[in-house]
Amino acid sequence: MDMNAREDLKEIVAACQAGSNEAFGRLVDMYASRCYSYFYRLTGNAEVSDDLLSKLFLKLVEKIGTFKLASGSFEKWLFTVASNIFRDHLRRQYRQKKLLAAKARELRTETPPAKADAEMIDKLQVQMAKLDAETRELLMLRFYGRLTFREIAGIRSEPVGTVLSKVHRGLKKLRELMGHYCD
Amino acid sequence: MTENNENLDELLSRFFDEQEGHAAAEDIHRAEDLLASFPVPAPDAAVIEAIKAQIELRLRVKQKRRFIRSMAQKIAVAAIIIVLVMAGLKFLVEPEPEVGGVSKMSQEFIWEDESEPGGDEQLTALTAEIDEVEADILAIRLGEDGGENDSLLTDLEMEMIEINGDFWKG
Repeated sequence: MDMNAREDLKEIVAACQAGSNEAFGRLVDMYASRCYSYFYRLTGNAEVSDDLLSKLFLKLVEKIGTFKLASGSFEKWLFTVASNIFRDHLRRQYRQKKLLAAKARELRTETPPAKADAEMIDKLQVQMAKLDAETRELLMLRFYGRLTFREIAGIRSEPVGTVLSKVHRGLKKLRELMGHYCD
Repeated sequence: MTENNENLDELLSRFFDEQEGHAAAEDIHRAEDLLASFPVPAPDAAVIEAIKAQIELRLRVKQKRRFIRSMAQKIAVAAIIIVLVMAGLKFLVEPEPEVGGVSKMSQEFIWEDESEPGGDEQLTALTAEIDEVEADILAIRLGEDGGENDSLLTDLEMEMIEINGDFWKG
């Protein structure tokens, strides 16, 4: 991001903090696509991604006042919020699964085998699902969040060397899984 | 592909030797190109519009809340000022109770002084002296002093008669 774009972003964020609806509209236009891709690659589901995207921007309206313009990258802050929303979603999903499993045991019926998600149409999405959740999220923060390794390390509270190593291993494994698509 | 300002080669050189560092950088760039070659479909325009509409609604609610909070604060400040002004006016306009209070205090002080036994004796002695002086003054005024003053007066009168007689005798 060049200096002008950075200054523009600062102005937009400041206007958002002052409660400008127009500025929030611009922020949505700027980041909706990247944030949607982040959620989509993590969940593999368009509907869930829409829902998470909506939650993210509404959270932004609530929390924009807590972002300090002088002290950091807005994108790092934005993707930290996105990451927290995704984790909340995972926790909710885990609770729902547990509830469903309990219900299934109660009814003494076997839960039907999970159908392949209709959204997981591209090969990349299928192979991504084979990575562990943590690695997958690190890759998405790096790729769609466009964050530096230092910023990712800050979000995850991990040493930058550890993050670098995990991302490197994850990307390497993804390339192996993708096989001939890489050539 | 990342649009960040990080110097990846410099960062990798801190954790890998030169050869490994180059290989790692190559892996990362290739994998990122791979991710880029599988673009995610863009979010639906209707979803974006719905999000914007929700944001607008939230902002209105937020502004309303902010307005109510600010009005409540202003009302509270105004109420405090009114109470203070009223208390000040009461203090300035009604000074009498304080004067009454002071005289009452003085009375209480005298009463307390009289109640002491030593003070009572002193007062009695003082009163007696005053009475005595008053009686003396009265006696002098009426010429009823039968003491030394009287004889002095008689002597004076005798001298006056003698002087008178001597005068006429020549």
